[in-house]
Amino acid sequence: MGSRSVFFKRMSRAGFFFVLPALLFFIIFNTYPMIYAFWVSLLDFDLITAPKFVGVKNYAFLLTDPVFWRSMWATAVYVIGTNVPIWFVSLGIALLLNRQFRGRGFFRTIYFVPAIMSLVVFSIIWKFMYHPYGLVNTLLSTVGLKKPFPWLTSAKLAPLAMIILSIWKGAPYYAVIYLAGLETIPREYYEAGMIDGVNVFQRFRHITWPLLKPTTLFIIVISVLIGLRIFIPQKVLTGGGPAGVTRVVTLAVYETAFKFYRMSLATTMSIIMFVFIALFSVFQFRMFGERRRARA
Amino acid sequence: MRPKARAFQKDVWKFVLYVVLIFGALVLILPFLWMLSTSLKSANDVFQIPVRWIPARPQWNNYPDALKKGSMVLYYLNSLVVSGATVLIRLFICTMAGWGLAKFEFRGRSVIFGFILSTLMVPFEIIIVPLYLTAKALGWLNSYQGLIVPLAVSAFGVFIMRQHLLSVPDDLLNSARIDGASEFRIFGELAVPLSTSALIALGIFTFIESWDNLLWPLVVVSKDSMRTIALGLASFENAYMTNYGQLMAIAVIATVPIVLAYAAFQRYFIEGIAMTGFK
Repeated sequence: MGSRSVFFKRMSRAGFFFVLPALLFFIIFNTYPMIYAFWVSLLDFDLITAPKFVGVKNYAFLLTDPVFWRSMWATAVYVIGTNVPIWFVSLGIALLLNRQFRGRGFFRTIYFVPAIMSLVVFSIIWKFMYHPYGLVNTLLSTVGLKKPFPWLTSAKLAPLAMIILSIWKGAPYYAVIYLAGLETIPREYYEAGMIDGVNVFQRFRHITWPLLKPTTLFIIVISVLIGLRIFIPQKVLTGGGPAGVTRVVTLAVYETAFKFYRMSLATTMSIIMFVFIALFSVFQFRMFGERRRARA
Repeated sequence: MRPKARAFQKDVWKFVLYVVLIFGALVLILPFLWMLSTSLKSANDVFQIPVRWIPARPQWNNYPDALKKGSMVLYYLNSLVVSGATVLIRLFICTMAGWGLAKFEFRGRSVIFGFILSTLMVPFEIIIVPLYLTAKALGWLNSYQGLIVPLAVSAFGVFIMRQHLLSVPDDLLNSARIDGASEFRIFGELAVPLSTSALIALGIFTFIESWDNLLWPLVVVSKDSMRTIALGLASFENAYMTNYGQLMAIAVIATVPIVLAYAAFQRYFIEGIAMTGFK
């Protein structure tokens, strides 16, 4: 009895020590900064003059600030414009690559190249392709759209330019996740379907789609969370312009803090954004929780 | 007659399938090919119409010339150091935490696990200002530790490793304990070897994430000598704007290690991405 409890004590101590480094890391580089962020958002803090406590002034200011709302709108346009098409295109790619055909491995390799490329590099390539005399306009002119489109300098086209680039990169990425989901569907289901003589559409409607539902939900949540944090394409291609139509929130936070040194205002923006991210994270946790139970 | 018609129909379907497949492949690979193609063009030829995919006179010297501008080689090495160290630290700490959470009973375990998962709600973009202020207070601006440490561990990594290590049988552990092995030795000899595939996938995923980080280096680095390749590319992009061939040559050089690694370890890349989904 005694040695048994010593054994368990040793185990329990060891378990805690294994977790300790990670625990300390998250306290120092996640929890503490978050609390610090709340504090900074209540100050007037610009790195130059002494910080001053101002209460909720920053929140009041931002909630009526048209520039901030334009950033929120730019983010919303980006998230919806990019992700809704991505959900369909990525499923399409996954269904295509899930079929049995010769050269499947080769095609998979090619299709996933955008997913593994650096987004910084990808953005630079697209900036060059969106040039008034670049590849995009050249290809469009061969199908009759002769006038060069000002992709990055027109307030109408610039948000679309960000969206096209992001679908190009994102669809293969989410297709990989869809493929992993497709591979978990047992073959017998399809074989049973064959015996019953269902056609392709019935098979999708009654077998594939319902069984893919968890994957679809997961992709919706994760793509929205990633989209809300987007920064690189806007920073590289337009710098937020023209007239702020692509100045997404993360870019606005970055500029407010590190170009204009208005630390408190930037932090307050982050916290308002955090509310949205937290809302979507709740869904994510639920799914993690389901997986946890399924595994345990 | 009928089976023949059937076979014909099947062939038509196959043909359509391959047309769609090839079209999709060309569309998706187009930016990559355009980068390769442009990297071999002279400044005069980059906007040539009609489009030439294979340059008439490949300008191989775009590569050495581009590398001489700025300090691209240095940025490259910086990125290797930062991404490499991030991978090592993350794998080590996440595996340890995953092991502790999966295979030990101790008070507060589920609270700690819940706490770690809850940090996923706070991506670093949200706490960028306090992280910067913290790094500044620690004297970590313009340093490797400043670039590496604040993003070294991820809750997602802990979660993945825990899920993976749950499947290690308790009997294996207990027999090692009865043999008198220390907990740390058991960790080294059981946990680490049994999770090689998860470690490789998480490692690749982490490397790409770190290699591609732009926001944090922008914030924490102001000295030229500490720039990473992502930062160098983004901030020197304007300097190259007069010479797209050279800009694309740099882009190729920044992409090559990842694409080569992808070609060699494709399975793990796919696993690494799929891991963000269901694994």
